[in-house]
Amino acid sequence: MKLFVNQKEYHTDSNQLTVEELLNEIQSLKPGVAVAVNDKVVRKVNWNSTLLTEGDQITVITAVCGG
Amino acid sequence: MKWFGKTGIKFLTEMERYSRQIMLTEIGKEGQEKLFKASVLIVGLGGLGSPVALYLTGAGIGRIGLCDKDTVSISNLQRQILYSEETEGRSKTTIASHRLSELSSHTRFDLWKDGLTTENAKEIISEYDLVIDCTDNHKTRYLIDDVCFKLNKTWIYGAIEGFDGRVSTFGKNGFRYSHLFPERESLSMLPNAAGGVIGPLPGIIGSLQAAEAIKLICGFGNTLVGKLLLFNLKEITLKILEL
Repeated sequence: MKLFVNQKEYHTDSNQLTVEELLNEIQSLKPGVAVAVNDKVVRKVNWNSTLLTEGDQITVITAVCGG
Repeated sequence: MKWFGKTGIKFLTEMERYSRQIMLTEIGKEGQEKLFKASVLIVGLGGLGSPVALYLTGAGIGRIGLCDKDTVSISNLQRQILYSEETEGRSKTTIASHRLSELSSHTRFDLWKDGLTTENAKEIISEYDLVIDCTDNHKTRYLIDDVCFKLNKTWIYGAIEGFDGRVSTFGKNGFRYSHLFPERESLSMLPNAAGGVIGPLPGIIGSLQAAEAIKLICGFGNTLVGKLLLFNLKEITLKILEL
């Protein structure tokens, strides 16, 4: 399945992948990470129940704290 | 000087100061009256807080709370445009109120020199219509999120790091900052931000926060309620996520 992670193409063997599994694959499953699928934020409580589909645009951001 | 009364703007000469924003149909005299009557708390008077305070004072906000416990250091001057060399070592709230009072005698300033703490946050925030988050640490941001949620206050989130900037408005649609980043405990233990940044980045993000405040107070345009704005200065990219 082809996905886009932060606008870069990302290929995965699996066709059944949750947001949580993707984050684990790309080593982004850590505190202070937020995720959007097709520009809609998916809350962390829903990461393991949200399935990704071919062509999804995933945005991964980290919490920044500067002011 | 008391210059607006029950019947509206009192002195035509004072209108001139705000004429360039009053002439916008989105603001007009009605919007200007809303700005005069508004009270805004700025938490953090650094890179973000400087442009926020300057633009909101310029816009004629009636009362501004300046909340910061820090003093001016020489490494602030590269981006914190409220301060100058001779103010090094002095209280940011004091210097900011002097500088802003020079800009306008129409705004009343409250100085909160202890910064925002778990002890004083409720008392301070309850005094204002709107809170602007210009802090440099996660702990204070979660405190603002908590207290604004309890008091049903709107707050404008802003944060920067490296070349990245973020802006959103929380407190109007049920989506909280702690929903975006739920790992409060681990993030709150991180030290205050001290990474590299060029001055224009907080200038841009702070300006977006000030514009958001003016739009929320006057009630026009698309705001960032329910949205998260992501800006990258290095790549010049802007993305808006739905919350």
